[in-house]
Amino acid sequence: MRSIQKWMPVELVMADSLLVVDRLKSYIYTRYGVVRAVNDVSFELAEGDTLGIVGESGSGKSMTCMSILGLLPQPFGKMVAGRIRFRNEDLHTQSSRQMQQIRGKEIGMVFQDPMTSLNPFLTVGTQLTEGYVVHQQVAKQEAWQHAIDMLDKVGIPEAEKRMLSYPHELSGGMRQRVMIAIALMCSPALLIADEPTSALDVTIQAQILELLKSLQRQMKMSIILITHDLGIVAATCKQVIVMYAGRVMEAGSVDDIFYRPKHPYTIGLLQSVPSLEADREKPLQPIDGNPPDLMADIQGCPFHPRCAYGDAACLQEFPQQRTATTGHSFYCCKDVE
Amino acid sequence: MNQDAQTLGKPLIAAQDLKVYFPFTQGIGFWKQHYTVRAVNGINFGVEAGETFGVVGESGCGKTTLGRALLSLVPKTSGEIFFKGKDIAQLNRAQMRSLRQHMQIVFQNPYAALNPRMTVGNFIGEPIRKFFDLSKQEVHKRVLTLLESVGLDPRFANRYPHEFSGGQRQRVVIARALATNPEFIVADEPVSALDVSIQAQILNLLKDLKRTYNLTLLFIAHDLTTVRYITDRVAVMYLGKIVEVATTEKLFAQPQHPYTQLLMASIPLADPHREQQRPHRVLEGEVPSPIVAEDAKQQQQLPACVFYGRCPERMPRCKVETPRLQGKGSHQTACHLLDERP
Repeated sequence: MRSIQKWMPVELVMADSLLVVDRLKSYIYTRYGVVRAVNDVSFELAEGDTLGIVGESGSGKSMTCMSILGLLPQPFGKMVAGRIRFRNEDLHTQSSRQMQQIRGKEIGMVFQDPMTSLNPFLTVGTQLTEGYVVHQQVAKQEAWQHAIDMLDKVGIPEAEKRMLSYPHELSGGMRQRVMIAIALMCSPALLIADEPTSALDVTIQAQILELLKSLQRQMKMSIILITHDLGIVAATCKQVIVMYAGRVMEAGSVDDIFYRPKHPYTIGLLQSVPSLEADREKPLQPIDGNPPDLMADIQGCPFHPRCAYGDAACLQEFPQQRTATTGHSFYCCKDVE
Repeated sequence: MNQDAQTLGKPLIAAQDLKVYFPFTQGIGFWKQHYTVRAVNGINFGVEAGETFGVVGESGCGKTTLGRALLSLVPKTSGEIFFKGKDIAQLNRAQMRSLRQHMQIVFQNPYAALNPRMTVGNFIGEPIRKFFDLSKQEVHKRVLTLLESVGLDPRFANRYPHEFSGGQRQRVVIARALATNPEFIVADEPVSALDVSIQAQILNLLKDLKRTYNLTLLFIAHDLTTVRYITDRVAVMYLGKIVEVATTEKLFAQPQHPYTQLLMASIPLADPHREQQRPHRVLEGEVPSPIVAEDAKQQQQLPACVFYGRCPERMPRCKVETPRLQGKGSHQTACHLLDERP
């Protein structure tokens, strides 16, 4: 962590913010060059809120969360700049031992693929209690009892019996419920859910989303939900940030993003999704072209080559932050309606 | 009878009581037990020439197996498949081979469908060389036109798959499927592996190509929104059976089967106000396993209606009497509730 630059004190740290990410830059150093996975990302998350991070694959949304958790791929990934404050403590200056105290206890995680996130050799019960025993320093029996309650809470029938099952005996939806139960064992203040439903069927997805919402109400936790599905964002989130090529394109409340989008990328994204109600005869309006290669040195706005409004000005430098209304900011020098 | 008169007004491809079972055993000797996966379990449907027919369902409902069985890529267990009114089981190898020219498939994962050691031009040209007697130059010329028609630069013909993004690869796969001038294409989840902004490109491309090449498409997907956009008619599958089939318009306006209704209610709308206001009906439980033990006792315990276990409106009758696809005109539903409703 020696490479982190000294930062001028920033006054944006608000008292009620659970998590503040300030100008975060995380790069991945590969054999072929530097991938600027996260480039100047800032956001805040208040207690009890849900933040959605939307973006296509390779937009840096997962890497942002991995930076928060201190789980960047080692030894290639490095957080090169920025600050991450969690409960008024700097996360990026914590030692790896201190991070272990925070991960799983204060910050819970649910990853995309429930098939690979669970250890196939250990029973569900072992995996549930493991972290709880370490973090809360309780006896195994107590953890076991707590784990049964937790499985009950996430809607797994016959919780006591399931504690002895191995992951392969459970279906995809059940495994994801187990993952959520593991993440919530220590009642974390923040839950990071990285595409928690992309590997599941729609009916199971609806079940899991409802479960997350009701658990959030019960346990009063904040959630960062990473997804590429705008429908999920509309259903669950209060705040949204839209990412593209490692950068934040637009940030605001759900209403701002869905009803008053300002950035051409957000507008394009909203127009390119087929919906259950739009006119079927009208052709979809896709965003032309392909996402940029993050290895290349991108001049100016990364969305510029695919943007309908792009011109020479966009090539000069990455656009300044502009504010549409309070809490709604975007990075584009054009006025798009 | 005259061949033309027979095919006129008949579907291009049709299945009659099609069943595809995969048997397997577990254990040895005395403990050996026979099971079957009933992937496709008695399906009747027809795809008219020139239409796009959608098949939707959750994973494990047999939609992919259905697509493959239609192209005889997996052997069927029983039932008939008719292509232009001819039973394809009656064809010999040579006839089947020449028929394959008219039926092609686009697979889900463009990263796995391409051969990494073949240039894209070579890959698209392969079926042309197999089916047509053309000179090298003519094949190459055709490859270039195909690349252009799927929206790729003809200069890409000499490149290898790793140089392409997911969306571009899917375009290559589509170009290869078009290479033999097919009449019928099975598109098995062609966009689900792609990013949202790329999905729309491929969907528009498929729609355009269908028009220009006068294709008949079987579009298999789990995503109702894409199906709604691209298809003319849709069948909803559950556990190897079609539970509802209707024109796309009707199916989405008035879904009749409880499963279809709940499936639609499960899709989050990309509109926060409406999404938060609408009533949330969550379909409980999970799709039951299609694996059945070949044991007379256990078979009798299976409920007659495939959706019985999860249906919120189940009746005692559903357990004993198998619902048949019925309804007015083109909108058909396999549910006993239809009899109850006036």
